[in-house]
Amino acid sequence: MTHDDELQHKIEQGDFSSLPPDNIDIKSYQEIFKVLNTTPEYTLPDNFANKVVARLEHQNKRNISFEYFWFGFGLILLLASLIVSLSYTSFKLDLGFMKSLAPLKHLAPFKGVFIFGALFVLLLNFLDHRFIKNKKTV
Amino acid sequence: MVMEDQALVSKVISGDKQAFMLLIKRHERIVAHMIGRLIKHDGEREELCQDVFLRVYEKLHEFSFQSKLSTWIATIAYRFAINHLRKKKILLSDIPEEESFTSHFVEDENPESIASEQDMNSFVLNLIDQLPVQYKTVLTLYHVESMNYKEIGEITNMPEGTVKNYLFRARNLLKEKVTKYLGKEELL
Repeated sequence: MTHDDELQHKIEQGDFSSLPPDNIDIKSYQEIFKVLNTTPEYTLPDNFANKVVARLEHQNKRNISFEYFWFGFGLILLLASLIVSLSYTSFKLDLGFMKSLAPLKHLAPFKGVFIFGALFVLLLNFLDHRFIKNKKTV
Repeated sequence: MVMEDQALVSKVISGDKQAFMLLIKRHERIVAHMIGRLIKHDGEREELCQDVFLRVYEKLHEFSFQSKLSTWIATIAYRFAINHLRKKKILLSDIPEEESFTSHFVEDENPESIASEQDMNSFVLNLIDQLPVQYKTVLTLYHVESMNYKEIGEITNMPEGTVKNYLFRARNLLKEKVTKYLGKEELL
């Protein structure tokens, strides 16, 4: 601990007994401590908490709008991909395959649809996690 | 207080608007002091304080009571202030080289500080304003918020030894300048 550190420590503790009177360093430190211990002038307005909550509510509303947007966008994409898949695979709805003993054999020609479907669901999940944060409402 | 904080945090997380307002009221003082001392532009301060509390709300579910709630909120305020200064390209990188900074700080007599010399309080406040951000932060948390070295270290991510060193060095720098001024005053 340097002499100066010791001086600061003693002034901070209010231990002036061992300090020489009328020392300019001590006088300076006293002035500095007085200012440092004063509460800064800057204060927030009385309605600050209300303003923060209002901003939070506004943000939540905006986030909900975004969620609806992405939900709608996802549905449209899903529909579009279904139409494209159907047109490319010439898929025809036939529930009769359920009765068959080997249903997978009937589904084999449509494996492209299933692969694409799985990839598409993964993409939707990724977009969901990336852009839509589950915000709690206040 | 910890129990009170825990109950308050749980209420806020469950969506209690009044609880969040109470949390803001309890901690707005420390946030205002941190932002107020580090950010010079008055118009930016309040918005930044609001941003701090919005982040607090967003991250509150991650708070694990490893520290005091006030320390955690002050950490967020400190980071916001630093990021804001970085965005504004205000130099805050590291503490300037000891020797050069000390001589520059002590010898420099810019018109702003000379003008303030009429009043010791504003003179010292002006000097504090000219200190590096890290020094100002440590001084504010120690003297205004009465925090200990450990708490200040948690907020600023500095070792306790560094916090102590910065505190003593910052006060020493101020003393050099005030001594010079008082010496001048005595000669008059």
